[in-house]
Amino acid sequence: MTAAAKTPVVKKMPQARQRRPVRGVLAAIGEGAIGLLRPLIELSSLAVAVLWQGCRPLNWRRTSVKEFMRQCDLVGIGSLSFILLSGLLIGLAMVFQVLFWLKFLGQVSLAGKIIVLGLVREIAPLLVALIAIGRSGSVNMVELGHMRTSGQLRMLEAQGIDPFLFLIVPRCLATALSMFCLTVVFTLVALATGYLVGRVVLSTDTTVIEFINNVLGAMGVGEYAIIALKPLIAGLLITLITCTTGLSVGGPAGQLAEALPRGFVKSVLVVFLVSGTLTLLF
Amino acid sequence: MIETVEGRRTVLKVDRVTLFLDGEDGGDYTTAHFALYSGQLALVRLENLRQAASFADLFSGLTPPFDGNVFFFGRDWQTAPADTLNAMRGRIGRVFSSGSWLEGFSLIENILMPQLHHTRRPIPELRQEAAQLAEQFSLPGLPLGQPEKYSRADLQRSACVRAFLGTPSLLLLEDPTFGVYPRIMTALVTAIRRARNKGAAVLWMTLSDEVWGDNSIPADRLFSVSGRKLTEVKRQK
Repeated sequence: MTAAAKTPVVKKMPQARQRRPVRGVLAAIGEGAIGLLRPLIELSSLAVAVLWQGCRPLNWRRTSVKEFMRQCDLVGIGSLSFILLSGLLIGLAMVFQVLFWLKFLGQVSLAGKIIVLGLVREIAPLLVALIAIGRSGSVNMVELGHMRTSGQLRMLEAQGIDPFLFLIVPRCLATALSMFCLTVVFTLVALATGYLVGRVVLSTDTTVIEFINNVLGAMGVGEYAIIALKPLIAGLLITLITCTTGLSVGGPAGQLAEALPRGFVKSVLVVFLVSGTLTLLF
Repeated sequence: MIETVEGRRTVLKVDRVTLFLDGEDGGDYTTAHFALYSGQLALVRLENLRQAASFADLFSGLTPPFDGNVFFFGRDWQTAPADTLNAMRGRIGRVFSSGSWLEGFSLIENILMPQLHHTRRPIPELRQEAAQLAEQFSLPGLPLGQPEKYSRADLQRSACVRAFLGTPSLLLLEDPTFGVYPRIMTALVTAIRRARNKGAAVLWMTLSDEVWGDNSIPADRLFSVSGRKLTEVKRQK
């Protein structure tokens, strides 16, 4: 066989194909859209899988229950002191400021509405979510990344323990539940501190009952829904992002160091996205 | 359906399997074809721990074979549904050559984990059995600390405790005497005998010449890798 015969025949692309810029632009837009939507779709699918598997009683073996409790301890109990301190400081700063300026304007009756709009709807869920990212998100990424690279996940699989059911599902649900509880605690502490400071420093004549009525009166169904939904959804998604980021690390420790900030930024973006979307919806 | 030969159930059937074995020089293909019955002990001589891990992964359905099928109690690992796969793996006791312990969990939690996951046996009963096995393997009581606090020898003994805890149907031992030969031999052989009496099949993989030549091991069958094939060999007297 001659050298010429061995050479594969390269077909030239038809001129008509090369001159289709519209198709190229559309393809680029399509690729961009798919690239943008794919992570969201993957995240949603995982979230549905976590909820579905979490609803199956058979999946709650003793090992998974223990992991759930461990995560509640890490995120819930472990963050409690920090949440109390944050609530105290936010209460001092925000509620005090609101009461100060409203008293100055002679509009103290609006205090409840403004506090509910600012603190209960927006600040409390957002701050608790950011604290959870720092506290449990980074632990998830490092721990699962290390488990993957050191063969511990493979060992779990070899023992018939599904890492998704043992590690991901309990962590997601425990973080979501803990974040909801922490948001409630944070809100109560901030409100109580704000009221006490206003009473002592500004000598406001609003009684505790009036203050509570003021706040509760300003809260509708939407506010109650937001208090529950924001931390629950954010907790679920933060844990999923940080866990999948940790599990995506396949190589040396350097890769984990690169993955950490990526996971952190993704988590923060998702928290803002969830917060904004729910604020618009309710 | 589970095959039986002379009243013994086929625990593991490796049917004309071609497996890619990792190696320092990049790896190579190896073929295997054998069946292991309940109560049998097979001693397998391998060249390195990677080979042992690859074979153990193949036999427990974690690595699909390049060609052929592996059956566990008559079920093909490749076609069994995910839930069944995990339940099947729950019947295997394994001593791992690497990545054996979950960090962040104490050694006793690691030891009890498979039993806590797959059975409903009460925790005190499990702890009592683990304590007995720990004593048998010369551990100074139940290992309650974190894995990183223990010596390699103690970790190897603890790995044996975990593998033999409960009533495993198949034992995959990846060089269980590594670093503890011959001190662990009496306890190991005793534990294997008890497991075999309860119907377990045992695959003991070793890299050691001493273990391979140790006539005190009551192995029914001997295997070694030669010429890209896992073949059954006869014991030299």
